[in-house]
Amino acid sequence: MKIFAYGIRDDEKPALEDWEKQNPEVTVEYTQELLTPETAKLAAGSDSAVVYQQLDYTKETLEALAAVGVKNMSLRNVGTDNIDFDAAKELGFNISNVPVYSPNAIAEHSMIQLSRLLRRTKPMDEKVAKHDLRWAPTIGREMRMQTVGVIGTGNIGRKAINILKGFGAKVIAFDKFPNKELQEEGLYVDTLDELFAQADAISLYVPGVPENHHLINKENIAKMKDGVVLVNVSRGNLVDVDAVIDGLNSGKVSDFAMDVYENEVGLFNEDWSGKEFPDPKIADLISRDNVLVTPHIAFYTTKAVDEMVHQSFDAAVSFAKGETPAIAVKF
Amino acid sequence: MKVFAYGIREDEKPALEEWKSQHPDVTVAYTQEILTLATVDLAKGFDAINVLQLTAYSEELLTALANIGIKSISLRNVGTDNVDFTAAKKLGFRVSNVPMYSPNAIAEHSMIQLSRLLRQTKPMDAKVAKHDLRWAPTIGREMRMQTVGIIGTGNIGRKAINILKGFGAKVVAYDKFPNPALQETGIYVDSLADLYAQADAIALYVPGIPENHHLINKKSITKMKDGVVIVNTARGNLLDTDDVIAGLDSGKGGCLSH
Repeated sequence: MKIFAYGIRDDEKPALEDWEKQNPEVTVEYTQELLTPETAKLAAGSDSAVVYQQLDYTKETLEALAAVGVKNMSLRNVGTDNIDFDAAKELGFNISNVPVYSPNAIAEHSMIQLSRLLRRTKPMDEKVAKHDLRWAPTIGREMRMQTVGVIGTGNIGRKAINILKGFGAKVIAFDKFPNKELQEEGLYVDTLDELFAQADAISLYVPGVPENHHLINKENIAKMKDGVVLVNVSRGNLVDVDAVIDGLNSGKVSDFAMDVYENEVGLFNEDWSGKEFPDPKIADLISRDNVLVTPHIAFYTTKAVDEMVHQSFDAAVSFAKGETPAIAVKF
Repeated sequence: MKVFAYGIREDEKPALEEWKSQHPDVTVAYTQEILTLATVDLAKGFDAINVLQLTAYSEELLTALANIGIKSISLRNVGTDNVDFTAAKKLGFRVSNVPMYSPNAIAEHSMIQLSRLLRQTKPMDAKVAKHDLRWAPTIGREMRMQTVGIIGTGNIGRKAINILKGFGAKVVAYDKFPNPALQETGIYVDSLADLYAQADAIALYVPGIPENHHLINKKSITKMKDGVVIVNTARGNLLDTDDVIAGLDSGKGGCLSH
């Protein structure tokens, strides 16, 4: 059995070597290149491909892969927005993703960013860096004193709620499909409007499905408390960035942390240092003291990478054996 | 009743205004200047003063205050190292401090800093600031995956433990005087050596008393795990900074928050 992996990074290699040791009967080859119509042929002779990229898996790409006899594709991440599923179905592909590699990684990132915004670490770090060691007036706010609105109480949202509870913050939650245990704790509000009205800070944990498009927009921001703190580590299209920028400018929005952006493909994960930065909006946000921008790194921990590698390669083996792994994507 | 406050900062004004509206029977006046021989007379006619400063409340200063009829000083902070208590006693002063303003504030800061070190936010932020938006290789570690050693389980240490539990981290603790409730959860180790051996990260919540001087030093660092992360938001003398720097240079210590 042979598996070919694309887009393998250095930080994945320890986990990959670990998996190979545990699966000595499988031949693994890999490249750091992404899967494109041109690189598809590298997988020739393999039973399954293991992939991870934000670049689209277009009809062309899938056809190229199928053409060299590979119709099993295991994603190392959860997002499948960039797969042409119609083409995949037509060509008879088996596809898996890794829905849960580490909800903690993402929950932790969102809560760390929230606590940093409240604590004003960005301006404080800047002062220290230039050797201004005065504490005033860079005063912080405690997590404990906030009412935090958690939108979406799936795997990740629930981890975030645990972290907030550890800080002693007040938590209010909203989810179209409430979780029974959380419901019993009385954490839910009935409507988003109620959440907007009560929350000092809001963090999103919902998928980027069409109905959630621009969940955070001008209309909803107007319903929020003055000085609301917003955190989005979920999907870029949940937030209308223009509306948030307006909010920041007027002071309605006090602070903003974003790990995702509607137009992040082609922008994030590139080195623009020393070059002209193509998105003035994001350049502006990066420069603000009350904004934290990170380039889609919420997932990026050693534990998450370990899970992504192990689960995707296990799924690839299942497909190769003609089995259907639990994490196969139904389409 | 009239209270005069010294050293009032902008960030204190909201709280001060709130206190005033809750105590309409008290006249409050204040200055941003600190209490010195030059500013003592500002408090003439008042019953008590309220202060916060790092400079000394010397015998000279206390005498000047007593001379204008003030014998009550309320500090807005906890530290009383700069009060000449011998003089205060002699002159019949009453002094108060605020021993506990927010254990949460300190616990949160220590845990936020720990999580940032694990997450490598400093290098990542530096990359983003110069528009390098690549995530690799600036990989983080989860709080959840760490064993965190908490030295000192008083008010602040216990808040830190709660925060760690919220993250799902494993906690081991040490305190000369264990807390009975925590003891029942089995969180304590018997010795600091045990803690050093098990902890991926260590945070300090003990007072800067002589017996704790340089608690973290070359000898104790050697007993710690390779790549240990150390956080000190308690008192400066708990740490031998030179030894910690040596540890950072050698790679023995992973990161330091001080």
